[in-house]
Amino acid sequence: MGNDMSGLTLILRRLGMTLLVIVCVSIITFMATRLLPADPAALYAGPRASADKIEEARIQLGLDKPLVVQYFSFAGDALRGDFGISFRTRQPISSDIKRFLPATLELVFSAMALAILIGIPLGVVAAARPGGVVDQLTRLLAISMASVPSFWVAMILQLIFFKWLDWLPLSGQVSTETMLFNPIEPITGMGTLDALLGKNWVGFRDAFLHLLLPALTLSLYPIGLALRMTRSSMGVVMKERYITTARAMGISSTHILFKFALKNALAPVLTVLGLTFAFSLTGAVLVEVIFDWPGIGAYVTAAILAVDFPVIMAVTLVGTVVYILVNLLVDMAQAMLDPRVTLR
Amino acid sequence: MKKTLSLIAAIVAVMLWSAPATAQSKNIFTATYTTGFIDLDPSTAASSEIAVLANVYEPLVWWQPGEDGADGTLVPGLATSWEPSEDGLTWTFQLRDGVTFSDGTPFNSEAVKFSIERAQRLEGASAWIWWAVESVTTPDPLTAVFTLTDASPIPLIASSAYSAWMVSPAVGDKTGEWFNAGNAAGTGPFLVRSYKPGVQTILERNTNYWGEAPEGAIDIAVIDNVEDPVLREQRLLGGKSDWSEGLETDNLEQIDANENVSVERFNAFQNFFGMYNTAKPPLDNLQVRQALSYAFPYDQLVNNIMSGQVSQARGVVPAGMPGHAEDAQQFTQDLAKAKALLAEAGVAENSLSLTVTYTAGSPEPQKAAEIYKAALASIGVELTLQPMSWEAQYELATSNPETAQDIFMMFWWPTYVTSLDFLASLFRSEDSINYNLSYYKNPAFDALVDAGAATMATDAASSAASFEEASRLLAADAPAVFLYDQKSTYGVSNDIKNFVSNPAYSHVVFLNQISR
Repeated sequence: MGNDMSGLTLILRRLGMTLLVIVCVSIITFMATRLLPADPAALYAGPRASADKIEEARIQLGLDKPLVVQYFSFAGDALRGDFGISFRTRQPISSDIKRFLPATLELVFSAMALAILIGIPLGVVAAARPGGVVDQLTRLLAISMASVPSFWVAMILQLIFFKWLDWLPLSGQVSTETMLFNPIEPITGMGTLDALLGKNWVGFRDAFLHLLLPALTLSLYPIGLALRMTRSSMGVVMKERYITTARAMGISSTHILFKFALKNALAPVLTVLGLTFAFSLTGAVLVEVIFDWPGIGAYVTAAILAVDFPVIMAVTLVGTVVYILVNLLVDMAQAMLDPRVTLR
Repeated sequence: MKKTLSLIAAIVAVMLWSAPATAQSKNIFTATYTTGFIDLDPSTAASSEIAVLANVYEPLVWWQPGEDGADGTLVPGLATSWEPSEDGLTWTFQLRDGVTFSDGTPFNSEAVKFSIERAQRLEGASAWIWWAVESVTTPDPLTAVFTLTDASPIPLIASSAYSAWMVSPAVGDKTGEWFNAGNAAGTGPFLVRSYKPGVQTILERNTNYWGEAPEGAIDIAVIDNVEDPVLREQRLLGGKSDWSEGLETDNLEQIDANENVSVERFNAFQNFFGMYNTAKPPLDNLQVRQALSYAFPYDQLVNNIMSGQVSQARGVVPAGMPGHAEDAQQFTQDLAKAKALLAEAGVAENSLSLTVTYTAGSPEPQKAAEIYKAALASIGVELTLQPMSWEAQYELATSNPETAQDIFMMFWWPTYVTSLDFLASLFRSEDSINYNLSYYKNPAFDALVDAGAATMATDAASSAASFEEASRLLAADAPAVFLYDQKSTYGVSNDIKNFVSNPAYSHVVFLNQISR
């Protein structure tokens, strides 16, 4: 199956599915927020508002119209990137997301980079000698990394690196001094990247040091996952005949491990990391709150507590789109790595 | 691989060479607040954003607390003096000369007129304070005349923390959007340098400020909004923050023990109580209400749960505010008496079943309701706890008193310093239910409140006497169980001097008052 279809058709079909999923998610989030017991007009009008004000807000928000009309106006605005005004911050939600999403992406990208740079090589080394000391140690490491709760690790890291050693900053994206005297010009919204682009070395150093602890905390689970997935996937590949052949030909074992075996073992690892990426996007909230990282997770948590339903809808939608896009990219990468995989 | 390695090496080298930002000669003050600010528009803001506004803008009149619990007084702000007409229907303000807004516009009577009219036009949550103002006229640049429809204490109202800030007329038709983009146009000692909603606000000294700066004055103030209480504490104790609100009650002792930080407490005009449903049995009966008020474990709430950070309330007007009666009846827990009162009221044993509503997610009402339930159980009264969202709680209470809750727990604070906002808003008879959620109707009480309100503008002493009498009557008639008066508690770095919290402007650090 699939061979009779061109790659382009496949991608189009996949995109069609993606659109369908997004529409479904938008309908579900829309309905869910309408079923909440709180009256959005009263929330919008603010505390101690008069009945007239609340009625005015209802008309202003279009809440007096039938549900179907409300959904289409919501969907139409969302397509144009307009998610309305947050009840809580009184700011346009699109500008809030533009401000908070890059910070989370910076954190999640860094965590993923750490997972790939640490988890995969360790997994390969562990697979080189199954049952060896390295294998046993990394197994223990991976399990503890994946099982220890991130908020606990975060606080322990703060205790060690801020309170005892005083090597790394406690929280935030940059220090007050940098903010005041070497401000990083916002370009992408990712502190470290913007500092590099703006050649602000003092700012870069500061932003990088601020990024270390939260990124490390967030990366523990993906590192453990990547390590174990690589290890077990490598275990299967290493038993393949072509590996034995390569060994017999006297090719160095490092070369075999990293060049021949890893390429074939990478597919499941990528899939899992793709899923983890999307999960971390909203799952970063605990880390964001503890490190006061101005990301989308902390933003949506505050919104949930305040029943700020336009924000909840907007973030759910944006999260869904990012999730689907990342998984599409992972699938495409799979296809490139392994010619047997087709995009179904 | 080699390329990557050399790139990493280059980055590390850069990091080692670029020295961290060195200590600057600027005097920087960092404050940590809990939730983010919502609305920086001085005419409509109705919440903790006054932390920023009170440093960037000024009112005509400030309210100043008295020393050692004495009644507070009004002191000049942008007005230097004020005078009512004989009938109390006109107030004339003399304005401070030589003051300019940060945008260069001079401050004068036109600016006063503009500010009041802007607050009225935008109808923010607190704009009602100006309800009696019919017009503001400007006979000369330094005289503003308020013409009223009803005699009302305009200087006191002008000291409000909300909707009373003077804003530059050059603002014109601009709305909240302009202010929330980080713009400002006030006369205060500080300017808004940058504003990231929900995250951080940076203020810097206004070098053109008309007033004086203290010795060791603050140059720059960085206000961070941090949601996590543990992190707020860490920042304070780790020297990353000079001042913090929202510290956890259980940790205050430990924070105070830190050699660089102390915990400071001030009166706050906010209190916490449970309103009895006096519109239906059994709480329409005074003896039942008294029984329930004798049953509450006040000591446990004040000393154990709130760790002594609050004081037990005496009536509805908080201590320190004119109209608070120091000799009003205060209930203490007496279960035997409560039981006897129930029997006297003809309530059969184990026959009473009541519900209490409170806002879900806030810890104090939850704990208060739990200990109340336990205490009531011991006198044979069953209490059902109903935590709900504020909107749902309020909707239930305002729908139909006959089917509404029996006890409604809530916090209350005034818009400006007047006990009228406690006595009239909460207990004066209402035709349609607004905030009198006890559904209390007592003509004698209403008459006292009205007498106090009538003389508020012209005779402060007799007005306060009427309010005190109303407070006493209310405390004895027990239409609510009055629980505690809140205190404001802040963690402050020891090298910050002269920090004083003003209960009329809670959350505010007056940046031109403190020094280092």
